[in-house]
Amino acid sequence: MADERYHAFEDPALDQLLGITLALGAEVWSLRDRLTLLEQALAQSGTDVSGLIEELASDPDRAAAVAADRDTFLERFLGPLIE
Amino acid sequence: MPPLPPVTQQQAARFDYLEGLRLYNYTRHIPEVLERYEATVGSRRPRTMATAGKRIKAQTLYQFAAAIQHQAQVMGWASAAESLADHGDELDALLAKVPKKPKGRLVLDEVLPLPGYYTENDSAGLDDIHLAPGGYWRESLVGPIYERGGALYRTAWRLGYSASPPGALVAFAAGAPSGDYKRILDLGCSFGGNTMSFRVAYPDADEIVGIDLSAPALRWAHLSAEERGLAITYQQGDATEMAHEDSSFDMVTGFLFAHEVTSVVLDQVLGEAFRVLRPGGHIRFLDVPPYSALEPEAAFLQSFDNDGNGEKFWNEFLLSDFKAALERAGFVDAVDGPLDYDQPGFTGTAALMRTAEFREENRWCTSADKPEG
Repeated sequence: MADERYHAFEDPALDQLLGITLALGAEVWSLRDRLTLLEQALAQSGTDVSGLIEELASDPDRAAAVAADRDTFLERFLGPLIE
Repeated sequence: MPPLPPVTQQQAARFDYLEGLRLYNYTRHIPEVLERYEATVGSRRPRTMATAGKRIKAQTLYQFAAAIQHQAQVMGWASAAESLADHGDELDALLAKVPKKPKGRLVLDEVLPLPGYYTENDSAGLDDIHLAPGGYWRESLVGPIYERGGALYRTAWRLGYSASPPGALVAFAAGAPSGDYKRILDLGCSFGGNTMSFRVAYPDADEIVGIDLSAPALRWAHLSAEERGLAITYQQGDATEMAHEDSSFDMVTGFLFAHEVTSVVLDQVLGEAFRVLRPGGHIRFLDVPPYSALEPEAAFLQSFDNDGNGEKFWNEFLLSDFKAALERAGFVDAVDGPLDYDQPGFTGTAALMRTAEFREENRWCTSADKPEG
């Protein structure tokens, strides 16, 4: 029964929200770890993907495209708050 | 420890994350909570755990820390079970494997009734012991699950549950007064870590017996002991009503067991322990310290486990006078205090929510003797 569950905050919804955040954190960390490994694996097989990524990221022409991408992402992410 | 299936990168990353989350809580949040507490109390220090707790609980940071601690535990068990889910058949086969020349024995009682306090949960499983789904008894893979999830609690998941805490248990076993201990009984031995330490400390003992309610836990204990070449009898039974004869043991012990039962059950267990111990025999327990041994704010932090970690009888035990319970059962010369042993190589014991640093009182030894004749 949900109302009998342990909650550290007065409002159990905050505990649930924290649970979601921590679960997302686990996913983000796992992905970061995998990406690092992927870069290392590519480097070992002869592709300096880390260097290429830095090179691509520093391209000034990329900024505008990334900004548009970011805005779409934020709209999806935060849009429900004002719907 | 017995071989566990390898973890994938995703599973390893998840364990690393959860371990880091706990350590962050212990090394950053809790010290800050205590610092803020100190700043607010000034010279008017709360004298009771309840008053200290009221002040600490009011801190939003404490609420976050407690919530993180709870969530990390729930996520830890889920991650441990998930990392083993695809390997059920091979683990079942491992558990069913009979060593060719076993050093010890496994004696299961298929029809042993499990007591209500042990199996019942009234909150959708969230008050299972340590929040592990199914507690110690329902899940056939509870051994491997603890090997990963329990070790995660001790912030040492790569070492495995049976490998930690190093040193402490052998020191506890060897710390008994010098005597001729030929037969030793370990009450509520679960995965057998304490039982194995007694075998290491007393290699010449005739028989060392570990008793527990859980068949799956005993299977894992047996497997672990055989892996280590340690001769131990693991026996399924209820410590409130044992089959052993009167005066048949020289020493009785229990590790992190006394806080897992109600005080009524504990009195029954101590009565049985008195019966099976020979006159002049020794009884010793290692557990967490009673609240009375701690400063009010540390006692409050320690009380987290009662509600936040599925430890239903934690407060009942830690508020009680264990030495008096031993004396009620007939034992004499009851003494208690922190276990004296060399600090282990890692600080992340199960000592928290009670601060990250190693503190000797986090392992609390209570012992007594059965009178001669």
